[in-house]
Amino acid sequence: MKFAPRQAFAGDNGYRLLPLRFRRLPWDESRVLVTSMAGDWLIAQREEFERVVEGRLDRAEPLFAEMEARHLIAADPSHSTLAPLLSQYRTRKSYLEHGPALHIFVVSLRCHHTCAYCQVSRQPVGNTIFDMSEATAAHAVERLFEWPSPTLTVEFQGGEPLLHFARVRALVEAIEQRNRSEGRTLRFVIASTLHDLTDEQLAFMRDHQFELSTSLDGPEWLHNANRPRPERDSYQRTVEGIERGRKVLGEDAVSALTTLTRRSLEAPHEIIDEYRKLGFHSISLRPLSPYGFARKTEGRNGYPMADFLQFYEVALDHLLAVNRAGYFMEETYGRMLLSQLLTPFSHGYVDLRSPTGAGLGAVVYDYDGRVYPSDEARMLASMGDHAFALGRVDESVSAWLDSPAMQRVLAAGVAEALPTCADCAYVPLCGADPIDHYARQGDTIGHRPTSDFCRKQMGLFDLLLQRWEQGSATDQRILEDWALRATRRGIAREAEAA
Amino acid sequence: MRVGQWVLVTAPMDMRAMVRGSDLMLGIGSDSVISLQRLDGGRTISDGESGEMAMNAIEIVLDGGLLSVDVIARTAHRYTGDYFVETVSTPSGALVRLTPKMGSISSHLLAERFRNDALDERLRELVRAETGELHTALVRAALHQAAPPLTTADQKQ
Repeated sequence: MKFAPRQAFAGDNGYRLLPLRFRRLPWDESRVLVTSMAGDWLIAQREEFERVVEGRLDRAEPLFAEMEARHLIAADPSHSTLAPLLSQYRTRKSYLEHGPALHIFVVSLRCHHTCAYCQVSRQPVGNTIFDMSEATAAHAVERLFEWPSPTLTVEFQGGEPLLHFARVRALVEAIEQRNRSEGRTLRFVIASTLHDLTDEQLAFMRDHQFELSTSLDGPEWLHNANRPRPERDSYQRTVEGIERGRKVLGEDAVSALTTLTRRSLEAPHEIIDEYRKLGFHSISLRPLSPYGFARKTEGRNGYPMADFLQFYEVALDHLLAVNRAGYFMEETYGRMLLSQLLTPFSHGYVDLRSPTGAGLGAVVYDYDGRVYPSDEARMLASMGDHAFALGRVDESVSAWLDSPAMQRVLAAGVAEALPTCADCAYVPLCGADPIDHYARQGDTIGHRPTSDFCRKQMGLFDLLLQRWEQGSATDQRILEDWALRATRRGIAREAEAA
Repeated sequence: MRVGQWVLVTAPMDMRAMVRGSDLMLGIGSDSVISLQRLDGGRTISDGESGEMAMNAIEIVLDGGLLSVDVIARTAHRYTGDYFVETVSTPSGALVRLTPKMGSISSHLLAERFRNDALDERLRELVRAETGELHTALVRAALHQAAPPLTTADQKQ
């Protein structure tokens, strides 16, 4: 690898530009956010930035040192090196080193709920043909250990995985047995409504250090409306499950997330206050995705992304107020974006990766033996579109990676190379989601000016940056604390894996 | 059935009929097309042509000495979400015609916004010209160093 000669680094004013991107701030168009290829950034007056690009910045100006420190320009090469920039870039992309760490096992599609927004096209409780078989499970365990990641997060999903708990139990025992010779760090998560959770199941989860992830959509009236059961007691059963889970597994072992329907958008304060009432310090505010029954009921439950962003703004301000009042509570997606903005570290969140996390950060082993690069890909399959099926569990991992489906994902999976994204100031901090674009726009590359994924990412980055930049010292500290907590969790997991 | 017929057959035929032999079509993203209409030197756009194309269309004249075709196309692409876009090359530069896709879209200060965005695209063009090769070299260097070492089995293959 040879770089340009020294003289190439000395422009008229003794510097040259390094790769950078910029964006006018929507709340102050006289200023721009300027980001380096590794995601370091600063905010400058647009006029000043224009002088930088045109080679008219004087060394004596304070902006010169700031731009040099953030790897936006390079001065005299005899006194500067690009090694820190390369190191920072590698750190940002370090999730590429070990392959997928998240492995989702869909043990059954059966569920006792009839949620209108169900994204996985759940099946009736008695329909056991939608359960994962013993042979499929055995193959999936073999494949799991073909991946090189030193940390393996095994997440059980459904339908409702508790309805096929015998398979969960058998899988955990087989994985732990195999791991005696493999020596990986294992983490088990179960995504469940927590209804009908038995003492025996909880004892098993305690013995194998499970984490529980459940859905709680807000106060009782909202949760029961969004997640109906014939008995109309969905909220009550979920809250009981949360309490029982905490008692046996510990307070931090139970997390919840919210799926937002149109009626949810009218209740940002109530949703957050409900989480606080139940003692949660973390909340996930997820907009509806266009999969499964959610697509069929879009007319009733759906909404434009602009409405979600408006909701999120109100929710964020309420969360800041809750934190200012002394109760720590974070929003998980905002936390991930802030960690991208305010720290130089990598993270494991598959939706914010470039190259994409689909197949490179996560793999899904479906109940019927088919394998997918992401949960969204299997949701599409449950709607009859198998475009992203990598193969079957009795085939090798290398065959999956060579599959046309994976090649298609990879061809549209580098955000830095996508139209419009290539020039976006947020792209070093953002991700590529070819399967989401396929689902929404019928094309893996997608069209950014009409992309809901892009609207959401840009809207949230802008909002968080604005709140951080213009907020009080207290608000800044709260948002930085969210970002650092995300980083500390990542470091703790890496330490476990080492 | 009738809607499907329209989407799959009639609409593409209509679109094909709109393109003249002298037009240069650029496909951008998945479903946006910008038509760069080539006019002979000195010919101006007739009133009839302009009026036929677009009710409520806004036309923006751009200086070809300052903004390249690439800059204009990239700027226009940003507007393809809310507007139908036509870009016409003229002897002095280009004329961009933006037609709102829906009546609810605000075109307040549209020309001013477009011109600001074009100036930003021009800056991006300068950055790309100076850093494009270096960017590729840096990414290659960074990820090459991060590549895992070949195993004995790999080396044998």
